[in-house]
Amino acid sequence: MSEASTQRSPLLEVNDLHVQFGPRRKPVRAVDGIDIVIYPGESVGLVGESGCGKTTTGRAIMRLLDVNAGRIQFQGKDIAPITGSALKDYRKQVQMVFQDPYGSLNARMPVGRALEEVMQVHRMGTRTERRQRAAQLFESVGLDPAYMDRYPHEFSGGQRQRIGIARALALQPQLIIADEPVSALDVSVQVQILNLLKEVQQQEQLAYLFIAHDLAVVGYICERILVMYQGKIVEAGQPSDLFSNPQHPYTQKLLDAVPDVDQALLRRSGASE
Amino acid sequence: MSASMDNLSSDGRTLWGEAWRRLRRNRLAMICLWIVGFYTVLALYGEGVYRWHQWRDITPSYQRANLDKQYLEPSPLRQPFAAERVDSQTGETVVLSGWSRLRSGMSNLLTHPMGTDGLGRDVFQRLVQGTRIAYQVGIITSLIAIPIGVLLGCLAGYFGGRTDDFIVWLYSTFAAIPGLLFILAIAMVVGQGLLGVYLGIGLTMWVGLCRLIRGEVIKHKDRPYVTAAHALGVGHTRIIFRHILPNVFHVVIVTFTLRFPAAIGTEVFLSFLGIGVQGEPSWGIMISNARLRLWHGVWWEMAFVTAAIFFIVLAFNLLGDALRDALDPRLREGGESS
Amino acid sequence: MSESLLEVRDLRVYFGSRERPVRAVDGVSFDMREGETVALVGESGCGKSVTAMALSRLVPEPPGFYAGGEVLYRDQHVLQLDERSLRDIRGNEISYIFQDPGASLNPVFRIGYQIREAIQLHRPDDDAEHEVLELMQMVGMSDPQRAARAYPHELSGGMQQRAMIAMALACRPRVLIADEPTTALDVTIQAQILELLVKLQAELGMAMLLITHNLGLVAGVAHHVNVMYAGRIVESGETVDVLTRPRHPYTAGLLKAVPRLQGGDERLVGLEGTVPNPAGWPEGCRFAPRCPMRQPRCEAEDPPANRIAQGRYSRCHFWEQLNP
Repeated sequence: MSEASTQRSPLLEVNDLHVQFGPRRKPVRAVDGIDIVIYPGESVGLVGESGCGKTTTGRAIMRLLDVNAGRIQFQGKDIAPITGSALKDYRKQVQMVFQDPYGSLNARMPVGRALEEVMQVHRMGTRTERRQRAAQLFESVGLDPAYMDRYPHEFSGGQRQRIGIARALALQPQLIIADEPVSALDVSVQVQILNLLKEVQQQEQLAYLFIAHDLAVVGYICERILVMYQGKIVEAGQPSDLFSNPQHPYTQKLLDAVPDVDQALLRRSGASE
Repeated sequence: MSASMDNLSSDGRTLWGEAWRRLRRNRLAMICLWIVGFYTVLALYGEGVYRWHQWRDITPSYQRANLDKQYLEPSPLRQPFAAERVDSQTGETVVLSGWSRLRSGMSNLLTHPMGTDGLGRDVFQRLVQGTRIAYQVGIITSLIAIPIGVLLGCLAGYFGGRTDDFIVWLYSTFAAIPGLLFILAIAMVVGQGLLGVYLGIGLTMWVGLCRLIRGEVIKHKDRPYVTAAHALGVGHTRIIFRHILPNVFHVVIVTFTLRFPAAIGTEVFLSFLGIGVQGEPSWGIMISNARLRLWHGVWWEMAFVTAAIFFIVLAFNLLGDALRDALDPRLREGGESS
Repeated sequence: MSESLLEVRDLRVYFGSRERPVRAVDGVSFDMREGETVALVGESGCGKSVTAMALSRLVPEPPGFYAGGEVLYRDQHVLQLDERSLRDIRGNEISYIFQDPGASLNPVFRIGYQIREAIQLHRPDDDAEHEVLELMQMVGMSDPQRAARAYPHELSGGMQQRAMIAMALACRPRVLIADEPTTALDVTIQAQILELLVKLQAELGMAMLLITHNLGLVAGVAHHVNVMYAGRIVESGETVDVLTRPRHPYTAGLLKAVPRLQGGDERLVGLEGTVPNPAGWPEGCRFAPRCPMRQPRCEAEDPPANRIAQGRYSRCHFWEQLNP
């Protein structure tokens, strides 16, 4: 897979990214010189604990906050200087899925309207076309279009996350940045959403930057994993390599901390024998 | 097993100390605090003067009529540094020069600096007494209103159900009575004067505080820390007053600073109407008296009293806003940052 | 086999009106022995936290009420005790640790003060000052003097949870109820806290009820596991047995839904649908609408707790067909 992708030009290329917060004299280096390359249709995981800078990275790529140093290129173009309509166009290509879909949906707007609104902002189609497309999106994320006129609070957590995904898909983006999209969900629903993300990726030829703290979840959905620790990427690799042969002690520590059913049972049966 | 303590940023500062530090960084709030402090000193000085006269059993200077000195303008306007002076005993004109002129000028400046009223009483002294009465009203009404408001608010918010229904009914009833009528009714019962003012204002002022405390307590009683206290076996009384109340106490302080000037305003209004303070120079009485003489160009009594009220109300209100920001637990530093 | 320390029999905790109650906990039975770790596993809304709170009658009444069943703690009927006796049990004999340590500590008091209060509530004349530091050391707070002076928001999540554990253990309870004790914490901290709990449980010989949605945690530490779904325990048994040979389709489905580190590229098959709303459980078997092996009988007839072996139960009509 990675051999094939080297043939193509990268979709997103982040070089030596730095993001700092706080006073200039004593800054907090949230992101401290990281490189990320994502090819079209590829899903890359960004793993680390809270405060490691993974969310900040996602927001910097979305141009939701200012970058102190480094370069972010999307389809070969530097996105740092773009403004106005070019920025709007960029945000059409890169969409975000949040951890808390309830917080990111307007509580007073029917969910179907929320989908239509995104398209309206980007001047896509006529009103009826938008309505049709919204219904189509609803179906593609496994929801009944009959529910389009309901309000966010009438849906369960998993359904809201489906709506969040539908909204991200509405503009037919190239890249979706998913920030902990399943960590607030129930176990049995988590896997439904993960499978949905996998399905739409194949259908739409999407690339993902999948930000999460759970290695097993990231391993399930991503082809490549970047382990982030204190603002730096300390290890990168394919899930199977990374899990079986971690190089960095922090990766090892993360792996040991994952409460994995198989390993726990293995340990117990080993102890009892 | 031992975990690192690098996240610990404690330097022994209390939460109140932290709030004070935030308040101190707000320059406007500090100016207001100085103004409030200045008024407090004036009120204390006024109390001292009042007590001293009472102890000596003499009519205080600010109550003594002196018809020779009616309607004196504020001292800076009376040409205090004039070179000529009429000797009060001989009636001759004395020409002053150099040091004696300066000395006489200074003493002229200090006698009746804000002029005198229609009975020749010193406006400044009366203003100081007015400050004393205003503080008395503010403090005593708060002492009546705060305990009632806090207690009922806590009980209503914490226990809910019938207790809540009853207390909400009680404060709605109080709130529904027009304040003036209520105070008039109290004045009828206890007689006109300061006691009526205290009770009248105090017994209406608790309503707002009670409502705020009730709302805050309702918010807090379902917080995990209250559940955790229950799980440790802490009783209701202790949970209300030792666990929840300290968390909502900032509401009391902010309400106090905002209600204090309101109480002063109400007193002024009542005294102006003649149902408030009797026989003492409260600000309301001063305004009421000054109103009659304003048409004769006697502007200073009215002007100084109005300015005094203006600055204290402004200072307390701005301070209240600043305190609300400084005490806001959401702004507490050291919270999570992603 | 030692005597039961805590016995829950057909516990029912409902919410709202008596005519149309929300049946959050609807007939839960299990027991705990001294020194044993029992897990209560389930997804949000299954009633596991309400069950935990009910064990020392902590569910706020109203809106909650106890519609039936009993909780026996050392032969005392907990649900029939008066407020004063309940207070003597809470914190002293049955202690709790909650999910969000940051919110469970009182924000306006220093850590040391709060731990001291926990000690003195039940033992007023103790030399608390000394014991506070001892407790803090016991839960692995490396600089207790300094941490005792800190306010909750000045500590990291892991430290806050250690302080909560110190408070819970202040009176050396016999039963420790840990309600999602690690969910709000970072992965590496989660592992540390869990390790600490297991160590302390063994040292102090407590019974621990671990409430979680994470099967991995259960697999690591619990002796016995109760799987809860829609207000009931649907499967119960010895941990390794339940997790390797589940006899209820819900447990089996949950196990299949968890992403594994060694999962490879295999596609996970989750359960269909979502957790039902406690306001209206489905008729018949409550899991039937989501069940991959549902039969007409399931929608008509509510399955009883079928006994499979000693201490092993399944609320499924067709348990024999699963992992025979």
